[in-house]
Amino acid sequence: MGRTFYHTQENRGTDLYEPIVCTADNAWLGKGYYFWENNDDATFWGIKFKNKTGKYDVYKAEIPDDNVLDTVFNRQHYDFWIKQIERAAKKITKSTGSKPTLKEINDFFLEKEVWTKFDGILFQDISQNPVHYMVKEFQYKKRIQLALYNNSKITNFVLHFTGEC
Amino acid sequence: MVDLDKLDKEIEELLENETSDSLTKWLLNRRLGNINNLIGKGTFIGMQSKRESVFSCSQKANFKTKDSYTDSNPINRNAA
Repeated sequence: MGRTFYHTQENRGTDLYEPIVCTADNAWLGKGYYFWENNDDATFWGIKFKNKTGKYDVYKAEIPDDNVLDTVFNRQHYDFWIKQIERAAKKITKSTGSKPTLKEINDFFLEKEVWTKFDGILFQDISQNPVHYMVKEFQYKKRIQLALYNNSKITNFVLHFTGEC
Repeated sequence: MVDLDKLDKEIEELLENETSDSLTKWLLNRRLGNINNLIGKGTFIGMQSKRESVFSCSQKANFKTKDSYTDSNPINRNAA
């Protein structure tokens, strides 16, 4: 039994039976299946960015986190991740004369089959959604995402709800 | 779970084996990959301007002569 994660997509009239792999340029942990840890963030993403058809779908799934690099809550994992990102950034910058983006570093580690040793990477940034915060003018809550590289770990992937934008 | 110490050493080795050439090629391919797909791989050759007789123009403008064709008064032309 894993933890519940949420996956947001445009509503195109048919239900998905598996998540859609993300290859977008702003997918900064590289090519993978992106999930939200929080239903509110999944909903906000649907309203804000998956709104072209006027409706969005939020799916939920169970994903075990026993082989996930947890850079959010696990200190050892976070230190490891920071070390590798900075080490690669230094090497690439020195060798090429050009600073890499975070996505380029993560894609490098994916292509070299480093990150694929994990089922995925759990990471966080800060939400832009002011609605879900209980205090004024401070984004205190982590926005947590899972970039999953091994989709065989997903179970019970089902439509959670359809929302209107 | 992955042994992080072991993986740390593997990454160190991996990066040590990368050369300036290999990383530059990799980065350029990532950033210009789409352009390369469009125009193909190869060496860029600077386009040089060459003056060859077939393209050169031997006729020289003779503004003085051309001005003499006009039948209008030069003073009126300036006023217009």
